[in-house]
Amino acid sequence: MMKKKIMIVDDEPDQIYTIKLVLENYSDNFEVIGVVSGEQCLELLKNNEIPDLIFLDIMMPEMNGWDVAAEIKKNSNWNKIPLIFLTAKTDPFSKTLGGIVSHEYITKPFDKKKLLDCIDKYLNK
Amino acid sequence: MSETNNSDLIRVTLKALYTTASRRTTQNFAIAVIDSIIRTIKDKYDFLKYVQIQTDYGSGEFIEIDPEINKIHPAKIGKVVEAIVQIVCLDLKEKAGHYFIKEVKINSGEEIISKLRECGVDLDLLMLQQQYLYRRQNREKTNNVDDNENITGNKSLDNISLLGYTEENISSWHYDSSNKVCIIYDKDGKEFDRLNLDTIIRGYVGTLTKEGNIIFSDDNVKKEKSKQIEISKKEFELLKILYARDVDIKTATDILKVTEKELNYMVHRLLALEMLQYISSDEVALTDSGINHLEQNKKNITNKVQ
Repeated sequence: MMKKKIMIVDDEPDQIYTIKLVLENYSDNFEVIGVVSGEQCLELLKNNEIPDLIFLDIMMPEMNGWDVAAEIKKNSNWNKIPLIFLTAKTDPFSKTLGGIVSHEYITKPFDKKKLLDCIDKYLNK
Repeated sequence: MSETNNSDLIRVTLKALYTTASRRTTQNFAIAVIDSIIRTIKDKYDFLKYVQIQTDYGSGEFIEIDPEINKIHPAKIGKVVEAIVQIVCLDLKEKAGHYFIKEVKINSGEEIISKLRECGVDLDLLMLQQQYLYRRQNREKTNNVDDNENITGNKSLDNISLLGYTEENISSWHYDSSNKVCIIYDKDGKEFDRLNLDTIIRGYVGTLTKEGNIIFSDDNVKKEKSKQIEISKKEFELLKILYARDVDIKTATDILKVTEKELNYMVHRLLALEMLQYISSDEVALTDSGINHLEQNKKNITNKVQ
């Protein structure tokens, strides 16, 4: 069976590592791709490295998560990928506006159950 | 003055939403927000096919509206405008929904507001509804805090079971320091489970702090530590005041018996500690973290003051 590809975009390698650990402990059926910048994420997408789901941080240097999400949404090959914001931004405006464009908006420090529920919901595990 | 038509109403509402959203996110993302909203309600309001959002607009106009939309009955346009505002406000908790509509009002201008009223959209009424919702949420939140305190009383840590393992099913254990796991054995001496103590302790702390299975990365631990900085009694009083009602600078300085400069310093400190946030260019409100801090410490502080 083909493994489901999950991309984690976060400028903190520790965060990527933690999420990767949670996902890999949960199932062997995931291939986790960690990238540390928005630019790197778009580069991979352009190279046809299309994941089944993306976890996207917002507060990143250079290109932030808002702009990465906007780029993903305007591309017809990418805009169907379930996009989940995973961020420390907890203000109501960010949550609401982020929630309108993305599939889910999860705040850090994250609830493991919520994260895995999203995986189940969007990857039909 | 040329008469305001449907196309103007839609354009100005979307531009107002764009202004509000782009201030909080980015210009590109604000356009993505508008595009998502239009796509969401297009099924219900067929005439929105006349509205095109150019997500790849460059620096030009991103809203394209076919003049055909001017043939639609204004009441239907009113419904769309109301739907757009309500989609944004639906999830906006606390005062943010109220301030969002206020910003839409400011960005729309009087002529549009009065035309919207003719179409059945009363932004003032929507603001009042949002304010009422906020007050109700506040009351419910306060009631829930009181209820929880009554039910739980003093929490006893002794009552919390970690994993449910007891002497009944476990005979011995061994700590494997190289892999940082604790191996536990059953009555027959067989390996029963391998426990990652770091993860368990973090989960345990999460449970005690009512945060569930929180994953703490080193970064998160640092952030959490930094938020534990004590705030002064006056700053706490300021949080309480802002939680209870709207106040202007004069009222706040009078109640707290501080100068405007001292108040500004307090506000900046609370903003830096992420207990307050800007909800418009000159207004602040409590963040979730501010509310949590207030609720967790209200009782202790009250006792100390008494």
